[in-house]
Order: sequence, then C-alpha cells, then structure tokens
Amino acid sequence: MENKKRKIAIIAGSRGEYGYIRPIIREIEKDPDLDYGLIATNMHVLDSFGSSVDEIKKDKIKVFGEIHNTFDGYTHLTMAKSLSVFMLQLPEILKQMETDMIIVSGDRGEQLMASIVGAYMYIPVAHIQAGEVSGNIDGVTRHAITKFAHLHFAANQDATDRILKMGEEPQRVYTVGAPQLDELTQGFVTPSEKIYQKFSLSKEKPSILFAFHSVTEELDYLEKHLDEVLPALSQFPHQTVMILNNSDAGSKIVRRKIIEYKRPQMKIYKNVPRQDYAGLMNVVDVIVGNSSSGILEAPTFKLPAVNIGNREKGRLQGINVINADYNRDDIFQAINKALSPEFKANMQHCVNPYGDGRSAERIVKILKEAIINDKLLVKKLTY
Amino acid sequence: MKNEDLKSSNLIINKEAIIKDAMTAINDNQRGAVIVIDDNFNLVGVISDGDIRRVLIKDREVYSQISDIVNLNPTSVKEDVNKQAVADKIFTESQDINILPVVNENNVVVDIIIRDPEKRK
Repeated sequence: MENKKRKIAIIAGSRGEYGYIRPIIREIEKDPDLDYGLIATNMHVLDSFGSSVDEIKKDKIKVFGEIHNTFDGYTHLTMAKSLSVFMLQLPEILKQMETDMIIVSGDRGEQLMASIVGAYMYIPVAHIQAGEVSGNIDGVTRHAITKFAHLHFAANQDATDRILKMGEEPQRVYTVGAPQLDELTQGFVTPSEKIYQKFSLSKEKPSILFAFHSVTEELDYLEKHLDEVLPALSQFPHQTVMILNNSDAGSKIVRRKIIEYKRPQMKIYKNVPRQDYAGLMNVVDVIVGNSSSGILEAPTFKLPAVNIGNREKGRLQGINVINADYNRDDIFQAINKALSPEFKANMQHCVNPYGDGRSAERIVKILKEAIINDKLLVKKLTY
Repeated sequence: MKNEDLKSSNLIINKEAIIKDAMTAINDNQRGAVIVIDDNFNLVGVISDGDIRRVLIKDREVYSQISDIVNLNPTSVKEDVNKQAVADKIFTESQDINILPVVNENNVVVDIIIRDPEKRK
C-alpha cells in the first residue's frame, strides 16, 4: 500500500476538551500526510447540554462516530456505568476507521477508557495536558491515562517532571504548552461588542463570570458548598453570567441551587460556544468558581480569577488567581479583592504559565514524525 | 393572585413536570407559554410552544422532563415598580410575550401579568 495517510482518532467528550482539540485538528488539516476522525461522546451528543456536536459539525470538523453513552441520573453509579458503554463501543469504531493513532486529552473518564482501548489494541495513544494536578477523580484519571498512553504532551516543566516521576521513559515526554491557548492568542475570540449584545451585558458596568463544576468526591457536601458559594456571589450587584455545564454527578444539584439563589442581575447560560466563552473572559472583570479556565486561560486575558475549593488545588497558578475556601466570607473577600483597582492594576504583569499558544504545531509535528513500532508500543518503566 | 391561586393556575408549572404537562398547561391557558417555578416558588424560567416543538422534532419523548429545555432567562417584572406600566411596555415591544412573571427581590414569583387579549395581534 502506498502512502496511506496516517489516520488519527480524536476523542471528544466535553466542552473543555474541545478547546485543546480544535487547534490540533486545524494543524492536522494542513498536513497532506495526516488525516483524522473525531469520535464524539458524553455531553457532546446530549441534547440537554446543548448538543455541542452541532457546534463541532458547524466548524466543519469530520465526526467519524457518535457514541451515546450517558445514562440519566448523573450519580456516581450512572457515571461509572456510562463509561462502560463508551468502552464497549469504541473498539469497533476504531477498527472501522482504520485508526493509526489516538489522541486523548485532559482528565475525563471517557479519555481513560479510550487510552485503555488503544493500549490493548496496540494503537499508539497520545495524551494532551498530561501530568497536571486536578483535585478529584479526574486527577486520578489523568495519571491513569499516563500509564496507558505512549506519548505524553505536557503544558509546562512542572507537569513534565511529574510524568517522569511516574516512571515514564523520557523519550515519550514532550513539553509543548497547552494547546487550548493557541486559539486565544490567534484571536479566536468573539468580539466584545457581540458578547455585550449576546449576553445582554452593559459595557459601562462591571461584570462577573461564574462557572462551577461539582467535585465528584465531595458530592455529599455539594449542597452545603453551594450554600456558601452562591450567597457570597449574590451579594454583588454586578451583572453576572452563570454557565451551566458538564453532565457530572451533581450537575442537577448545581442547576437547582443556582436557580434557588438566582437574582435579577444573574443570567444563566448552557453550553456556551468556545469562542463566546473566551469572549466573555475577555470582557468580564473577574471569573469566579472552580473551572480550570480560571487557571489555564484567564491569565492570557489578564483576568483575575477566584478559585474556590479543591477541584483545581495543586495546579500551577499565575498571579491572577486568588484561592478561596468553601466559606461565604472567604469567597466574598476574594471577589472583592479581585475587583479592587490595585489587583486589577497588577494584572499587567500577568504571564500565562501554560504556554505561548503555539502548542498545536509542536504536537502535530511529533505525531507525524513518530515511528510506529515496538519501541513506541511496548512501554518500560524507568524505576 | 395569591400563592395558592398561582399554584393551581394553568399559567404555572413545577420544574419537575414533564413535557406533556407543559403542553397541557399551554393548551389550557392559550398563552403560548407557561411559567416554571421550583417548590419554593422561585422563578426557574418560561417554556414556550416553540421550545417544546424544537425538541419534539428531534424525537424527544413527551414523557421526559422539561428541566433542560426551560428558558432560564425569561423577561420578568419586579414587584416594587409600577408593574402594569412596565408590563404594557414589554407587551408593546415584544409581540411574542403574552405572560410575564412578577418576582420579588429574592426571585420568588408573586404575581403573573397576562397580556390583554384585545391587544394581541
């Protein structure tokens, strides 16, 4: 067979990952030797989360397969069971696609399932955003992916060091930066005027962006935590954009609580498109919650971030981040500080520790040049 | 209207309702939409004929919950203002709105204003 294009399967399960994936797909498209197919699953194919697969198709990205796996209920039980459905269907789809390589990203369950499937099928697995720390089951998942993956792409030296400590061979580990920053630095951001209009925000008044995910291992305390977080937030008369996302266990409780504490200045949106989310970060005065975007992406916009609780604990942070505990006074103080002129003035010195926004081209070059043989596929521990 | 009257009214349903309940309420109230509240009368949103139609054509079951198709940012009126004047202005500017929830400072629905049928287009 002559010159078969190297075909890369890309796993997409949630909105956050899509930000890593899209710049990589754009690079793959530029290369005549490479081809790809997206496998969409979990919240991408769920209507109740805005069916973001439609957004993906609108971007003219080739979706090879859609795996509908999510059971209703959003409990620990359904989360685990949903993953098994994804794992059950994936091998066949990879085979039909004649997959040469798999890209997994981040720290979600379906990405781990895909890396296990890849390892067992002896298809090389490349992992983006490897080696970082996130504070719940996702954090465990990320490092479990590392054990199955054949190539590790780390956003910074901190992450690279952690991967090496896990016994991975150095030739598999690449420090490339975080690819979701690529689009931000390339201006893939909805213009401010459009954002003001779309989210009915007044340009003259300060505003808050709120994004809160349930933390799987703290599910029993979720209501209690929200009873601290939301009263603190509702004390601010600022226009507030609240983002609902993720089909995690607990997402229904987050919805219910947000509605309970909703005030007229607050607006709720589901599954906001990536460039709008970036556009929001570009115009608001502070991002509040526990989304990784406050730590990873907000520094690029020199945007103050109030990071609540344990979800993103231990991750490398820029000077834009103020950490707060699940305590309403603590959170109120933190938001106040983030909104203060002194803190804002200091943001001009903010540098993003997750890279320069040129990661995708580095990653795709490595994927293209990697030789697929036993040396790549058979892993050895360094300890 | 008193809270109890609101509860039994066909202008309002609980957020746990199913699509069929919402269709029934809209069919009975003939206003093209129904207001959605939680157990404590907090305003959750509004669901309209169009919201329902859009999910039904995507093969959604009429026995599934409405919670994820409710418009969570509906137009509402605050109780401490001149309600009727504000409502009239909204009705004039937005021809597709026929019912308006009135909320207090805690986002609790305390009344509903209905467009005068004579003024419907």
